[in-house]
Amino acid sequence: MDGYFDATMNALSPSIRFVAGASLALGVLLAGPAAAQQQPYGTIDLRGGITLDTGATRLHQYWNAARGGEVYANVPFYAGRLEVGGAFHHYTALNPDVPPFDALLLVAGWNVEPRLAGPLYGILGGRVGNYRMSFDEEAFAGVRNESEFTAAAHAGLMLRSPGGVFAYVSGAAQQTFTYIRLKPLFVSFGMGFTMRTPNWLQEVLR
Amino acid sequence: MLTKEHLSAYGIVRISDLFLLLDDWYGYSVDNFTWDVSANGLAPVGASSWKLLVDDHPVDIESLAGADLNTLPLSPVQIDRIEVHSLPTVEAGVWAQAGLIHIHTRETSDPLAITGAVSAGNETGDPGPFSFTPNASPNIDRIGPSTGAVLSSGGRTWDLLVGVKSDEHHATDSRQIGRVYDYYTGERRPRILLFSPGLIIRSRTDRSRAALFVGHSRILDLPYLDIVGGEVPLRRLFSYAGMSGETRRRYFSGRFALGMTDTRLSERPNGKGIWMNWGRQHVNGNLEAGLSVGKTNIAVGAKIDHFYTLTTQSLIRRALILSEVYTNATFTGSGNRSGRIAFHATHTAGRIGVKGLASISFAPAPGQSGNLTFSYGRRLPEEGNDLYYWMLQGYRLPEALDEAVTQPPFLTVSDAATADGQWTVALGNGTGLILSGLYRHFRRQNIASHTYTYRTDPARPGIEFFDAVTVVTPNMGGAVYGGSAEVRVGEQAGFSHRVRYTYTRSHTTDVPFWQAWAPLPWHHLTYHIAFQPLDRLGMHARFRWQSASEWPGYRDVETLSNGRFLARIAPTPRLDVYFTKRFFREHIQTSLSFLNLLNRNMRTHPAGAVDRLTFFVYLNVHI
Repeated sequence: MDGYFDATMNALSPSIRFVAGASLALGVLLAGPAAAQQQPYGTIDLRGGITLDTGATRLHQYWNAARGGEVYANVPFYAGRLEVGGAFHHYTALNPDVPPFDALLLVAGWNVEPRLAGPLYGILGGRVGNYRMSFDEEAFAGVRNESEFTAAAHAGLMLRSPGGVFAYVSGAAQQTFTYIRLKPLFVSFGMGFTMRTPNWLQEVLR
Repeated sequence: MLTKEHLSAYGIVRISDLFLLLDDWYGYSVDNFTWDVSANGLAPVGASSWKLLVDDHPVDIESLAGADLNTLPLSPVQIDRIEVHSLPTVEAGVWAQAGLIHIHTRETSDPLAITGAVSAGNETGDPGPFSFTPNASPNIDRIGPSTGAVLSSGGRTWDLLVGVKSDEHHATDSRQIGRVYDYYTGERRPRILLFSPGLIIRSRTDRSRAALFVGHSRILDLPYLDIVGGEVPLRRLFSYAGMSGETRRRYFSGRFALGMTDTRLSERPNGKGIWMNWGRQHVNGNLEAGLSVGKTNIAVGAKIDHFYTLTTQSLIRRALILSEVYTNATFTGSGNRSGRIAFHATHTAGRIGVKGLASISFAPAPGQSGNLTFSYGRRLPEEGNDLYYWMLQGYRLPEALDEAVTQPPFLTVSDAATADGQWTVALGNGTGLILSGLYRHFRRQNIASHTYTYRTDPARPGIEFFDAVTVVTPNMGGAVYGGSAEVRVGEQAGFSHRVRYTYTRSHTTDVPFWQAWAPLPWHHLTYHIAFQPLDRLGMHARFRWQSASEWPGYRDVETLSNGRFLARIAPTPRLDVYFTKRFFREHIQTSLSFLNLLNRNMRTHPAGAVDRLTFFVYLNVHI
């Protein structure tokens, strides 16, 4: 069994690198045209949705992630877009020797949203942030929480309506830099809306 | 010169982090909190012979446990700029043959301003959820949080800064945990905790200025002492009060400085009852008069330093008085020529130490400039705060530390002579080439050589110790030579670059001298790139590669530990990347820093903690 998980984990690593590399290269190529269409910080996209961990790595030998939720805010930047947000998952134990835990992801990121056809847009980007795990038992004396640096590449599709409402579906390959890397694969879908950024917030962001 | 913009662009959250920015300073750290550094081959690694000034106040941060720059009751948010002298120099009457760091604090004329900063780092490699599985690995704690705040107020002729900083650092590396395991009865990981308030008041007119600087630091510390081969728990209490002033008239000028430092190495509660039983009071005064005639400035001054050792142990000598007279002359000639000559004479205990410095700068052709600096110093053993000097006076380390030291009956007066040359050529388009060479000659040095052995505790797997044997040998000598080449490319399309290669090595037939200099890597290569696409958005990256570092004293440890501790630290490339964004009319600044982005297992000392990819978040708010 371990061999299967190890093999899966090792096989994921190149895929994550590929997605990250492709996102960056495509992002740089697409950022220029996208930048011409937008005023930095002029609008703000707020979106939320359901997110599922579909990975099959050593982590998932011990834990199973139920459905989680995510919330992101996204603004146009001089090139591409900046975003901040997070996601929450509860991992239930598959093995009686390990406790369940809650995972809170807080990230900042950069992405591009090129128009593909009509109201259909693509999403390509990268995120870095913190992955906080809160266990039901102490991991070490007096320590119930663990935080670790995390990075992710993500890609998706978005359908925008003229009224500013949109729906999206995306996938994120995440790598959390624990001693044995956590490599969940998230699939997310949800809805959001675009609004004009309040003047005071534009002032702060600038 | 490092400005406050440099400090914020490179995410400096602890003052000691600035050593990472100095290409010609070499340092190591066991815990990645306290750094032992030497400047430009001017002193052996770990000698901590460099000097520190804060707004012209000489601040004595040396203690028997080394010179930790973080002891200074200043946070980076209080700093305006830092002058770093990597050549012998004299500043504010302070003879600094082994380098000088001069910190200038921020001045303000705003009626009220508040700046606060907080940062926290997370070194990667935690076990995460796998700590509950058979795949568990040791825990690695976060770094910090480090916080600093300063309230400032000022007018046209005065200003005031009230600052405070706090910091936290965790010694969670498995190599450290074994050595400090017995100090704590609980399972709580040992930490370094720092709290430090400070106050600066200044007044200024067109012709004069005066300053008062008061600060206190309290550090629950775990410094690694070479003489012990391990960490020592102590409560380091540092207090400083000083005032200085200067006045300038057409031909005459005058300057004074008074300071008092009180350093205590008190007991930090620990399982072995270790108490360093050591403290020192240092009172210093400096009076200087200057005369300016044409393009020549001449200053003469006198200094007095009074040291008093605080310990319940019986010492042969407890108090020391060092008196010093000096003169310093600078002149500016035609054709961008300038020069400087300085002479210092120090007296104590019936002996005199003399020091001399001469430097000349010239511009042989447009776009070219050169500089030559020569120095000679005859240093008395009473200067500085040398542990072995005080051991000869009768001081003993706590028995539980179980050190073994062989010392000569007395320490010798030591000599050092240095010669440095630098040639700068402007290549056009903002590009410059800087070539430099250095030579140092040391004689009659007192050198402490340490040899370590390794042992484990059979009853407690994973607990490892070093046993140290130290031999102090007088009359050691040798030479250090080297050179560097640096290319700087000014800003073009938002990018600017700097690349530097440095070669430094020692030569001697005296084994203790060779052993003291062996850790210095012969080759250093650094590359800095800055990218500023927008006014308020910047990216800086620094790549550093250095050749192997040799630690001969740890060879037996390497053999006995089956290679777990290595006496040779292999060449390792290091890449640090910093992103900075300023918001809200520069009132808010955030930084993301990725240190050791290549995620190599790095260390700078055989006993030191392994340093992996570390992620820092920094927030600075200025109102």
